[in-house]
Amino acid sequence: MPTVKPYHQTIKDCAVCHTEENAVAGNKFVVPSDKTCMGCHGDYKAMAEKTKNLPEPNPHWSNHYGSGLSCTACHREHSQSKVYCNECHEFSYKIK
Amino acid sequence: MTINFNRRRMLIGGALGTAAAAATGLVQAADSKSTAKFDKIYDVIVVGSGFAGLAAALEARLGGASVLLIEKMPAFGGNSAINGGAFSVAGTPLQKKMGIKDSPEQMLADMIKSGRGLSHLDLLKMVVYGSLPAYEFTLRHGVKYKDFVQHFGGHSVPRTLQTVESTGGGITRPLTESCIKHGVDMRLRAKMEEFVRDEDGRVIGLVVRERYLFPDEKSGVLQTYGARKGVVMATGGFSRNVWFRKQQDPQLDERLDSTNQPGATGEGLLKMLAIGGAPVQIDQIQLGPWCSPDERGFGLVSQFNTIAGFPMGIMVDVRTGKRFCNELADRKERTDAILGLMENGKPVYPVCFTDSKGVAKAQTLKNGLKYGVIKKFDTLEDLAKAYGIPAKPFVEQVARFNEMVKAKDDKEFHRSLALAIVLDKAPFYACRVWPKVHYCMGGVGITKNAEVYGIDGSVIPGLYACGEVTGGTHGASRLGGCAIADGLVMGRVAAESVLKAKPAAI
Repeated sequence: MPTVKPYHQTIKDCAVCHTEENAVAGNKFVVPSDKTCMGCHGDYKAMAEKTKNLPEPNPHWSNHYGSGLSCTACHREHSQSKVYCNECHEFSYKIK
Repeated sequence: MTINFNRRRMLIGGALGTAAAAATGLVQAADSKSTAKFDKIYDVIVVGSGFAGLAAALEARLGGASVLLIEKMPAFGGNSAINGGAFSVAGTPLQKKMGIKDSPEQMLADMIKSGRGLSHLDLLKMVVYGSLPAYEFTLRHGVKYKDFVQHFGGHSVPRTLQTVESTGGGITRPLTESCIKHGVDMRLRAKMEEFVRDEDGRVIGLVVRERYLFPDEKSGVLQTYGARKGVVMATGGFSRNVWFRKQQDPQLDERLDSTNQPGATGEGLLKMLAIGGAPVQIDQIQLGPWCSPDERGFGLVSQFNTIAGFPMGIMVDVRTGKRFCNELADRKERTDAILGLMENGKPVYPVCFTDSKGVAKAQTLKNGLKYGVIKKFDTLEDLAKAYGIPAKPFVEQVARFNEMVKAKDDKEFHRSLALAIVLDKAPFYACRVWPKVHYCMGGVGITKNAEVYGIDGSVIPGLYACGEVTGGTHGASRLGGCAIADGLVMGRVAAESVLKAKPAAI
């Protein structure tokens, strides 16, 4: 079994993220689409609202990407998460 | 005897493909044939989501085609989303309002000069004369610009607009939203793997790696998509492909950073070359002269130097305290001058600075100071001390420059002083400078209608290309603000061409 993040430990069913709808040519275990994340966490506007008071620029609403950035650009469930912004910037975000 | 050019081209393309694919470590699949079953069929498939791809997809969709746009990275926008948002256009209402006399002919002359005689004039004219309509296109889709034009290096007059956000995201975000609103099928993490061609060599689709996880070349699931009218390649440059750029210029090795996003690795170009696309000026690679060695990528200093340091300040050699080039020359001239500051094989980073008046419009100043890549000083002597510059000749250089500003005549390097200011009001703001790999002027050869040339000089049917992946337009040095013009203009041209194409029977 692949490792999952501590905050998703209560999820026992792979199909919560790896849904039938997410499958490509019958393959369920591909990177999920953002709809899956947003189903529980809300859309970009909702996330941007939650993170608007961080000391760094809002990671969920940048002038470069707006809502045109995949959740999985940064948030990786089965491996180390990595802030996409820091390909170019030096923000001190703490990503789980 | 009749030579079958299609077969000959495919054979040559195969050889190229083998070499190119092996060299980049990609597994080269067999060329896909027209017997392929398509998982889905569109009229038009656009590869890449920067200025060129978004413009092509949006205009093709507005022209009535069903459109798929694929982007291999997890974010739309490519390099376009992270660039400075500077768009050079001749004859804008803003120029007229500011009393600046300009014309497409004057812009054309500037670009010809910058290209050092290597520009393909038919392509250059398309970009220049298409810039104002492209600007109007962006306004229609919600793009907002600052209320002043800027004077970029190599331009004879101020003509460069900039988004209010100081980034190309100010254009790519509205265009992405327009694409979605108008029904373009937009896919992230979808990487183009192979062209699908019919027996006559016409491009009729693509094999795509869906749910691709950059840079894992085995990730995702292969799907095959048909394109009745054509495929538009808008995949950008290869500044992040260290191997390939070193083949063109061995000095562009891993020690040189790049301003580009990580996905600017050039596979789209290599795939077109592999099926016989004609390479044009591949070795013409531009470095951005405004970057800092103190931060990664494009960073914050680039905008500071572009809008404050270079037009309103000066750049000095830290060993002498003196200027060494025209800070508003075009990028090649400045880059060559900066790279000349080597000592014992190591860079001697010059310092660029301006005063408190000069930083008025520097949007990245606050963050630049926060992250330490731009520094603040109360006196010229403090600045000199911090960077190890000999103070006396440095102070004398500033005084000389100030006299030249008053006289409106740069006797040292013949820089335009139209926007320059006397450097006399503390505090002063400074940064270290070193070029980074920024733009590939070369790419695949195209007609002025954005059709891709094969190496036999005819066009490859069904295949179009636009933006940085193409070669010939900018010659030896691209002028600042002209990549947005190129991408938007030729993206729209590609859409117009593909809409006119006779549908393939698939």
